[in-house]
Amino acid sequence: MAERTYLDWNATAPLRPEARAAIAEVARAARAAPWPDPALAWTDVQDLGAELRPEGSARG
Amino acid sequence: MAEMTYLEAGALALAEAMRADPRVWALGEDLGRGGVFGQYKGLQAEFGPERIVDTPISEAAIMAVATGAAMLGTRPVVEMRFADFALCAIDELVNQAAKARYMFGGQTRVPLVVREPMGRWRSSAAQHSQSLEAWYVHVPGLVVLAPATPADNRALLRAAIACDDPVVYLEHKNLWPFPGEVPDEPEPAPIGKARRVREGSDLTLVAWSATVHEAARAAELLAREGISVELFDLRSLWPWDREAVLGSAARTGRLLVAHEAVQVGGFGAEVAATVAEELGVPVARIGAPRLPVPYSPPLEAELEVDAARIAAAARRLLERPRRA
Repeated sequence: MAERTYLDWNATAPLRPEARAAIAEVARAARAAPWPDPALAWTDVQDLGAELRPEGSARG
Repeated sequence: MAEMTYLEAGALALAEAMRADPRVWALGEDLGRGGVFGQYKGLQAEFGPERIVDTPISEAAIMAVATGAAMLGTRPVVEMRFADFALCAIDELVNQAAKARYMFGGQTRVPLVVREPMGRWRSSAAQHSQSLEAWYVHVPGLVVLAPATPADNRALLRAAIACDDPVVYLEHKNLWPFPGEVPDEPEPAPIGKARRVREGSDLTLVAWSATVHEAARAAELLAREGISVELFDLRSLWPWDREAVLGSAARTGRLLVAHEAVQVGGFGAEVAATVAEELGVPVARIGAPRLPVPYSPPLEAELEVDAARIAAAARRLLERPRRA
């Protein structure tokens, strides 16, 4: 995320230290977590007419 | 020639147009500090806050003000920050700007440019990643442009500002840092003319915006297999260069259209249907599945229309006989 500037451009006030620490902890936990199964991209969309994953489209 | 990024080329085009014509001005959120991506950096210092205008956070108000100002003789450039956010202003754009010329019997024109940064930009998720060009192409009265290179971002933005009808100008967020040669003197990029990226004889491949670069990589992959691809960057989606695409497809006998937008109801369907109707040659499309764009990188990758997937679609199309 280091190369992204969007958040910097939108920051209007410094975050309080406790908020910054909480965000850092959540980000650390997220980085340590395993990536989700790519198949999850094809779920939770809608009940009727949801897109189907084409056969053989999975990577790895 | 000077090398610059796609972002810098857009900024240059706007600055050139503003220097040349005092009726040109820009408005949107965060423009005073350079725009959310930095594409307006330094412009308020040069042109002042009355021509580089910071607005409240209301896309509907921005579009309404710009539409009225265009009808009164100025040439506003609207910044929507993300194409997704422009949906808040769809009534002003579609029901007012796009229709005013027709409904007032030509007594007024709306020379308005709406800049909409579009497309996926790593982990920007469902509400900041959409490619909605097909929605705008569907609306009579709108011109729709989607440049893929720095040279075209400069030339087409100049052409858009010079246009007397409303233009939806779709810049791809992933292309902001993309470098390229830009002529010292702006070369005219006529609206409605495609750019032939690569000559070929086995298959015509049409793409626009960031997908042009994936399509070029796909053409390279296929060339190593002895498959010759003729690639077009459509650049202008409405009007689109039917002559160039039909001429090429007539020679190669096959057409593949690739785009980042959802395939269902995408503009690729219009191009493919036109070629099928006119020439009767085999056509195919490849676009994203009809899914929201996920935040997680491996999930987001599921939706990519990348070089490997375009090449695979081309191979499937080549298995079909040239004449349907």
